[in-house]
Amino acid sequence: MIEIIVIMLVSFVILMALDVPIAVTIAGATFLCVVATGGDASFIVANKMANGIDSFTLLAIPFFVLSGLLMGQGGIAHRLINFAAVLVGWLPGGLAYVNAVTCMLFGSISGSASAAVSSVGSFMIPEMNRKGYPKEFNVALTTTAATTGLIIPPSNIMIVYSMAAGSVSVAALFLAGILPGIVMGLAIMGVCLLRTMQGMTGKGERLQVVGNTRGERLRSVMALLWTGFSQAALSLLLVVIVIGGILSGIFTATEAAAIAVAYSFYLAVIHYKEVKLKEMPGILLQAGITTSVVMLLIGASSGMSWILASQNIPQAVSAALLGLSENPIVLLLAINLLLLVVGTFMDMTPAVLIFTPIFLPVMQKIGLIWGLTESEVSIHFGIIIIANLCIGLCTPPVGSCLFIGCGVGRTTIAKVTPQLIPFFIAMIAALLLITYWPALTLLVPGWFGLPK
Amino acid sequence: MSEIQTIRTRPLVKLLEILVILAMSALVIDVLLGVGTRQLGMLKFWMMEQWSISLGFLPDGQIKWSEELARFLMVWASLLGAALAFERRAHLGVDFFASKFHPSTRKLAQSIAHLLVMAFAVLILIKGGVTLVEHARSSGQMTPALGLRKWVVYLVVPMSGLFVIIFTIENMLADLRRSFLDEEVPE
Repeated sequence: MIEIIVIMLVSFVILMALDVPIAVTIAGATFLCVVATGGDASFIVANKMANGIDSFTLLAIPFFVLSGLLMGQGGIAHRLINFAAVLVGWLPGGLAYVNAVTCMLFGSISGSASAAVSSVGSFMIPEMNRKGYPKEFNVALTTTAATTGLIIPPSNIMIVYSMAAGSVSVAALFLAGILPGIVMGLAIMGVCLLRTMQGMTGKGERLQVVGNTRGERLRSVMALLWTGFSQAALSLLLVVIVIGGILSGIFTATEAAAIAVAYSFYLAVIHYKEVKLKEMPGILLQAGITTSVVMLLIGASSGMSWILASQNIPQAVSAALLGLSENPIVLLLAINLLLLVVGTFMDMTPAVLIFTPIFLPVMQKIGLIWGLTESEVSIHFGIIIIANLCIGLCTPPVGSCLFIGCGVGRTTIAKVTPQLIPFFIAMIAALLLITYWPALTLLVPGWFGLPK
Repeated sequence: MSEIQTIRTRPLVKLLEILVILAMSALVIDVLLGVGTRQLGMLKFWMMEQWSISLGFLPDGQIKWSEELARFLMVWASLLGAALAFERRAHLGVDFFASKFHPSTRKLAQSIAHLLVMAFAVLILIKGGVTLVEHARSSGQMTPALGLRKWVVYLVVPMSGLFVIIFTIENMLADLRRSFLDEEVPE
């Protein structure tokens, strides 16, 4: 077993350092390990890859990518911004909250943090600059707030996780993400509140309230709220259809995703007319390529988790970690720190695929101490690993959201980094809360009797 | 990520792109058909019980082949799309360490990385894929609902390997040509 671990680690590190695509890195390291155990490596790895992709659950991924692209191109950004402006825009420092709330909604609907940064950011960052908010603060806010959309359902990374963790209920994961995602968003807005109290210059937006008597003014506010909501409602309905459909048992997660495609096609092409029919091949191709990148990773990882499991390596890692400390608080801190480091240089999907099979057994042991069932631990750990890796999307040197944010905001990573630090502290605080308080994650699924 | 792709003009790439686009469209329609027929079937039985009428023209339930066809299309779309992703250099990598190398080492590392991708294509996708197809052929595996031979599903694995090799050789030559030009033209 030791030689397998050494071969896996050494080949993985060398291939990764050479900038070989991660999917090839994983498949290559697995190949060498199978060779070392004396199996027909070519056949075994190819077989695991092909059968790893051949799954109906995973079909939800291309569909959510496709509906995300359609919604993202379909001009929902400004409708969500108008809605958020009525909700929180009138507060002191209001535009900062508008930005954060819009990012949360957009990220949830489009399922892509990068799309949230570029779509919401390209409108909100210049607008906030104009209203006197510091430019680097605006970029830092958009970058971090956009990642919350990956925790708020529906979310593709949760489908990837459910596969990596061995068939965890996608419905339970979706529900589990709601409160942690909101907590993460509130933590980010907490930073905005602090900055406003410190005297940040940006102002809120005045609501166009008319009328002389209290009743008239109230009616005017209600009318504004209704206008904002009704504009955004059709986009938000997507989330309701998906989550509601899965929970009521009318359709599976994969079917819900296909219906989301049909619905977002209707919204973007027929209702809002923001996407032209002749743009559809390009959108389908983009979705196909994005999906293929994820699928190749999933295929390669299913080979890797097979060889790791056949050598009892996850159990050995978990025994070694438990040998270091029996204290759940220390162990969780160690796992979180390691994932934070991994997240700074590795994308979310490969990180989830690689580290879920390794750390989940340790988590199961910790869960026993806390009195959680096996499936509750799988759900809780899914939210922990996703929330953790969200932070990595915004960290230098290789945070994909940070790159896009700096591009949209026309600034540099070096200038934004000081502004990012308070947001990181807030996100880590939220992560610790999510980690050490499983009830936050398990409450909403519990209402629906999940996980069974 | 969210940029929309334009369809390339090169015949081989264009062919693969069209196949991926068709497979993606077929996937959506197929899964919607699956849900639709199941819901219609349930509605039919409910109406027949409620009003005791005959609705023979409506489907009895979910068409049996929709899930199988979807999985088949997905394997094909993913592996052909993966080859295209090599052509576009869209696969996720960790360029943090390689970008810290000295320029000349970096060029060498880049070439080695291309060669390793080709080794992956030859050893796993082509050699492993051919074995996979042969196994499925000799055992005569069939998919239950469509009656499709399983080796047809697996055939895309070695095919994808072949395309990965073609695209990687092209990328490698392009990189070598670029670094050669960089040396000739002083900055």
